[in-house]
Order: sequence, then C-alpha cells, then structure tokens
Amino acid sequence: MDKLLEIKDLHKKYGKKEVLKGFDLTVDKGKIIGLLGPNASGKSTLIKIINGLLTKDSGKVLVDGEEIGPASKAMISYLPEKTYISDWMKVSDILGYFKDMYQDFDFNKAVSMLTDFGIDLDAKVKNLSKGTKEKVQLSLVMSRNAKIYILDEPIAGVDPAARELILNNIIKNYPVDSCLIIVTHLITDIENICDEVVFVKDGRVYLHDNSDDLREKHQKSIDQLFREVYSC
Amino acid sequence: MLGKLIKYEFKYLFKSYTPIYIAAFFFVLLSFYTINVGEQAFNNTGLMIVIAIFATLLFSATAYLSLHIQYKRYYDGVYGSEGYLLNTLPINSHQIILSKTISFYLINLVTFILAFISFIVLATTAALKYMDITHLLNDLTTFITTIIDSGYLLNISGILINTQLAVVLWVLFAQLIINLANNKLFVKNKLLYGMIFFLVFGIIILKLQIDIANYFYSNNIGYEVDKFYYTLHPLSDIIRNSAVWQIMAFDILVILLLYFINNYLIKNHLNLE
Repeated sequence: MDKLLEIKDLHKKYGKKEVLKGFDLTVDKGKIIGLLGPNASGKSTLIKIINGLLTKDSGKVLVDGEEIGPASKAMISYLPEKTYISDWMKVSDILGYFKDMYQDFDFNKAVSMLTDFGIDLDAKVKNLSKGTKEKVQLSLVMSRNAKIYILDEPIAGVDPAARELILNNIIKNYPVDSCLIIVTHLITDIENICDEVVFVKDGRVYLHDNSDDLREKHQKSIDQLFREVYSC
Repeated sequence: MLGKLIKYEFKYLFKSYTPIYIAAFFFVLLSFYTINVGEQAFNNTGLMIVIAIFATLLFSATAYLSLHIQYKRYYDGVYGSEGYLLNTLPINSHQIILSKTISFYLINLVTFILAFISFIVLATTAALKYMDITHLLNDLTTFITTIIDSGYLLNISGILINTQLAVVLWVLFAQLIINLANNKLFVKNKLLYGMIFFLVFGIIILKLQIDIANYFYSNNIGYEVDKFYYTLHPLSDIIRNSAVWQIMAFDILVILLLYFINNYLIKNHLNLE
C-alpha cells in the first residue's frame, strides 16, 4: 500500500466553532509534504487528531490502514510545537526513555545527531535554552524509523543560521519509504524541500499539488502563492 | 511497557519526594537527640517548642506536597506539555491510568513504610532508654502472640487492605477530577468545574463510605449506632467486627467504577487543545 495517511471527511468542533469542516487528504510514501495555512486554519487540530491528542467528531483517519490508536502511534514520529521533554531529566535520560518506549528508536543515530548539534548528553534539560530543547526533540523524533514523520514548526524557535542545519538533518535522517509532513509558517525556508504542498483554509484543503507543478503553473514561488491565497 | 512507564513515573515521584524525606530524616535525628538527652530535654521548653513546630510543619508540608506533587504530575503528564509525549506513545488508555495509579500508590506506600520504620526505631530507642532489651523483646512477643491468639488476624489484615484500597480510591478520584476538568465536556471555566466536581463527588463518596460502614456495622452488632459511630469507635471494636469485608467490597466497587470512567474519558474524550 502506497497510501500512508488517509483522511476522509474529517470534522471537528470546539464548542460551537467548527474547526475542521470535512477535511480530505491522502499522503503517499516517499513524499515530503508542506502543510501550510494561517493561524486558526485547522492545521494544528488536524495534526493533533492524527496523533491521537484530540478525538475527532466524525470522519475517517487511517495511518497505513490503521485507525488512530497504539498501532498508529507506533508508526508516527511526531514533533510538536511545544516542548514535551521533562525538565527533571538529563538528555541521556530522555534517550533512555525513547529507547524504552519505541522499538524503532535508533539510539546511535540520536547520539550522532545530538553531537552534530553540539549538545552535551549529560546536560540537564532544565538548563537548556528553548532552541536547544527543540534540537533535542528533533534529534529524538528523527532517530526513529517511523513510517510518518510529522514536524510541527520544526524551525520556528531557532535562529536562521541553525535552520539550514536542522533542515539538512531532517532530510538526511528520514527513511525514503516513509513520508514527512512539515507544518510551518516559514515557507521560504522549506519550499525547496517539499515534494507537495497542502494549503489549509477554513478547515478544508484549499489546494493540494506538486510543488514544482504549482510553481510552473502559477509562475510564482510557493511563498508568493501563499501570500496571494491568504491575501497577506 | 507498563513496567517501563511505572519505572519513569516512580523515578519522577521519588525525586520530588526527596526534600520531604530529607526533612523527615532531620526530624528523626532531632527526636533521637531529645530521647537520648532524656528528661533534661523534655524540661527544655524552647527545644520542645522547636520540635512541635518542626513536627507540625513536616506533617502539613508532607500532606500538602503529596497532594500537590501527585495532582501536578497527573495534570502535566496527561494534559500538560508532557502529555504531548505520553499520549503519542504506542500505549493504550489502560496503561496510562494503571501506570499513574500504581506509581502514585507505590510512592504513598514507600512514604508510609519510611514513616513507620522511623516511628518503630524511635519508639524502640525510647523504650530501651527505660527498659532492657530482654524486657522489650518479651513485651513485643506477648503483643504479637495476643494478636495471633485473638482470632482476629484476618480482620486486622482486612483493615490493612482497606487502608491501601482507600489510597487507590482517592488517587483514582483525583484523576477523575482532573480528567473531567480538562475534558471537552467543559470548554470554559475548567478549574471551576473541577473544583465543583471535586466537592460534589468527594462528599458523595465520603457519605456513601460512612453510610455503608454504619449500615453493616449496625447490622453486625445488632443495634443502631450514631451516624459517625463507626469512624469514632475504638479500634478494638472495629477489629472484632466483620463489616471490614463489606466495606472492602464497596471500596473495590468504587475503584472499578472510577477506573472505567477515567479510562472512558481518556480513551474517548482526550482533549489537548
């Protein structure tokens, strides 16, 4: 099966406000997808439902044919926008935690990535800066041999100089038979690595196409097209 | 996987409890000093006031911190930023609840055992100050033999189990409050709803526990007792009464009910907005 992620007619409400209004999306293996949209367009809600952090109201979400649950979670490596690593641990403790919890976690790969980022394994998490914590999380997430990688704003909290290093690490470390979904506002930084882009507007897919085709068709960069669609 | 979850959870809790244990250790040292000095120390009003304040602060802080640490850990771990990791692990809702409940129970047990050992050591030290070791061992043997010969060993075991069940029940109840307060059932005023639920359901559970205890206790002794007679009754009478098993059945029933409600809420209504 080439479809790694299949979403059909997904609906979600917060109180009376409908955030997802029949969202449809299919993601094939081997693709890097840019999931783009302004604030409150429904991106985060969608990502949280895929990861089992929110329950859907209706619709279908299948991860490699599995409903959301322990089996689907074992296939997804998720980098949230928030810092989820515990302050009371050392970096080496977190590595141990991931090794214990995920069968597909590559310990050596994580150590290598952390070393590339210049992070001390004996450092206490509470003493790390926000940017360093994000690098630790990214190293952990990209060191799993998952089927789907979902990265929510992976470069938002770091300086422009570190962005290239992070993006290179992402590209270098994701297995070719998996798929990578990147949610970001920093379109210029990621548009060259995306195979496809998805524009989310008002809780629905507004546009889903191959990046090169879009650029050729509109004679614009993805960033310019984004600004046009959302009238920035 | 459950074992690993408990290991990390317990590690965190033990680390958080360390300051309490250190404070308790100093209290034990101070008590040792007082016992060894003997009457001279007991006549020292200043020292006695220090010990009294220390003991009050220690017990209040332990009670408050225990609640705070456990509630905060559950909230942060399931609904706070760490929930983004816990809820995306390849585990089910049962494993989440069991790991939290078992580790919370274990830390309570460890704290109780440490407190109990400290008490025994201090009591023995104090006893040895005024009697020799042979006399003390004879008294202890007589005490244990009396309990065994009383025929109520089973009831005593039942009471001990009930105290442990009560810990589990209130851990699960606290989890229920946090689950309800953070559930999508309530979009606004989560804290307020949480407090209301805590008060309402807390009172209901307590009332039921007392009523049921009173009901079985009255039936077993064959005459009516006051509403709070059971809770105020001498321990020796409670030990002789087999109501302990009915109370245990009620506690187990409430534990199961709380467990399944918690599981339903986490499984079907998890809401990390």
